[in-house]
Amino acid sequence: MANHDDHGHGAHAHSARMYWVTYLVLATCTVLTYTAAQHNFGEWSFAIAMFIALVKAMFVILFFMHLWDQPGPNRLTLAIAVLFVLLLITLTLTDAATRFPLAMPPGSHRALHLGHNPFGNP
Amino acid sequence: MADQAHAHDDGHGARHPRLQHHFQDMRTQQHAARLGMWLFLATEVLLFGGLFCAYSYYRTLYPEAWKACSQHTFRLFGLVETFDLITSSFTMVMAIHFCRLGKKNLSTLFLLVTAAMGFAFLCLHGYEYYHEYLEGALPGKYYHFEEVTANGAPMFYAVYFLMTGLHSAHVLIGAGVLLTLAYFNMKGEYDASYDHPMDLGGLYWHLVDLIWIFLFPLLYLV
Repeated sequence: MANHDDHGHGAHAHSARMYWVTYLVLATCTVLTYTAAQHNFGEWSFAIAMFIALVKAMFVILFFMHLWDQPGPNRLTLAIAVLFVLLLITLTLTDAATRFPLAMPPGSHRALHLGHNPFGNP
Repeated sequence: MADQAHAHDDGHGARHPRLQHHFQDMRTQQHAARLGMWLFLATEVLLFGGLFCAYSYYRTLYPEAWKACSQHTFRLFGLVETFDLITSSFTMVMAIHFCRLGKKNLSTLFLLVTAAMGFAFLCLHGYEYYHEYLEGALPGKYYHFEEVTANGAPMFYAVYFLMTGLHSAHVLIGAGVLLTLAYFNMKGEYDASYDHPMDLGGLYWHLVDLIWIFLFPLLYLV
């Protein structure tokens, strides 16, 4: 079913079952992420929320946007864009995490508070 | 090459009226159009990527403010908006599906429903913005929300308004595209052999949904 697209236009009219399945997965995941947010999973809440978002995104990309049955260049285009965004975020966060405390904005998480020795342990 | 061109001319032997002269057949033309759209979507991902980066950076700087502020967003509204957008993504694919089956009126109806859901999303978000404005939950020096006084709270709202604002602008443009598609579809411009504009408009609409899939947990839930 998934590969019909490549056989030309006549075969485009594949069944809408995949769309229904995708929609149900998206709806279920939305309820799931909302319910998970009501509970306190501590450090894991963020990872859980992002994992569910990733699953939803994959379903939208593969089936609603048809990357499942489209040629490679389209997939490559999206993959490279996402890769560069991840690079941007990772490198920026690495900078923020390894900065000298005095270089952090006042009042921020790792900034020095008045009265601390700037050269001691942060 | 010539054999291939004949094979894909929808079996009529004649060139499709919508086929541009520099493409050998409709399939190649659609592949080119889709690749062009994906390149555009890649730039959109990069555009939002900058804001996602700003979000991550300020979140590591002000984790307490992020937690406190996200608990003051309208979570239930966010949930309804998420359902609204995923349902609209579904009606969008169904519009293309019915167009390919030759059911023009049903396809137009689904396009209109999709656009209406886009406008519903904007109304809901407008209501949220209005409440945040009344509470003083605003970016930068305009911030005077008394319930959250953590350092960096104005930064949360700066990021919140930028991200949701840029996303809402996309919803507005997308809804405009959908209305245009519905108009031309009603006039009978698209059918199973030529649905490229609807295909590309659909990709844009799904991207809008895709961005929201990440915005919802990042801003409302964590």
